[in-house]
Amino acid sequence: MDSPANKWKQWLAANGPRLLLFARGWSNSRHDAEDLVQEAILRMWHHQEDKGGGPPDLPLVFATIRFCGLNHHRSESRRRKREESIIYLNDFQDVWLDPVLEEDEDALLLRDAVQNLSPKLREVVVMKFWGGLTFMQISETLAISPNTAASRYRYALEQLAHELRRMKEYRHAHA
Amino acid sequence: MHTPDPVETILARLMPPALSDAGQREIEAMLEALAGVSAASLPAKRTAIPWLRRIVTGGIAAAGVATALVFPLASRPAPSSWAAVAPSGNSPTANPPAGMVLVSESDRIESMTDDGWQEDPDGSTMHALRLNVVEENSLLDEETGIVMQVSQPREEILLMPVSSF
Repeated sequence: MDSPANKWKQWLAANGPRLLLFARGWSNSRHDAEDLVQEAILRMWHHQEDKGGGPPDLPLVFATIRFCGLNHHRSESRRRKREESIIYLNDFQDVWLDPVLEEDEDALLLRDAVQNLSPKLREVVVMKFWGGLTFMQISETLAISPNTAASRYRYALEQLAHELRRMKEYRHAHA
Repeated sequence: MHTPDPVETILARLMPPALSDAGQREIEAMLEALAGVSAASLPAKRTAIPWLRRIVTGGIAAAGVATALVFPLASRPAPSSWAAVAPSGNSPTANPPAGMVLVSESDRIESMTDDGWQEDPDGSTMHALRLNVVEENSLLDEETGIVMQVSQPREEILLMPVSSF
């Protein structure tokens, strides 16, 4: 029989990328995002001890990452108060998503657009599209109604479509 | 049947990258340590999440200090390895008395309870979680080779801002 650690490792192998992607929205860098995932898993381990010790449901982990991220952001904000005007400095070489095909111009443009979505829209897109959560699960994770979750998702897709058109026009104009 | 939005079709051509090898290894080692397979590696792994210790707290130190275990050390580790886990905080064992060396330290979250919504001094609504944490430090008596484990429970309140859309 699989040991608890092995079960969790298999679960991590299957879900690590989507958790990392979600954590990116709450972190300054890939390394910070991995720390966030690790902290969430540590909390989940203790949380699951009373529930048989198996890996947790994905919505709960997303909620925990979000919780840890909010908390971290809050403490960082305090620490950096009056020291910096920008809290999140993105390393633009350190991308959140990889295109399946090389030189997929549309995918590369959308990748930038996803990163530039507002956090509220982006987290719904990430949980729905790459996390595979239903609107009901997203609503439970974010403490919003399923209709609000669906609205945010549709609005995000509209924004992405608009941004894609705008960036393509800009590129053609400057080609 | 749901017809994919054109944007969704393009999004499907983007995949989230995997965890880095180092990150994956650290989490797996942590899982091993948590499962008790490799308990000795837990303190080292904890340094990979430095801000876990900086959790926002309205913390109240709750209970006293208990000396739990005393057992002889079979072989002494090299002094250089002790320095790697030297304490930086202000716990009672942060500056061990002369002749005592801090061998390892760890924080363990024992339990977490939901305290509901609260208002912080600025008037903002916050979601409060109460954590029971146990800090465990191992101290080596250089003269006798005896290792003492010191456990210090404390209570922390974790505050999360409540956002609205």
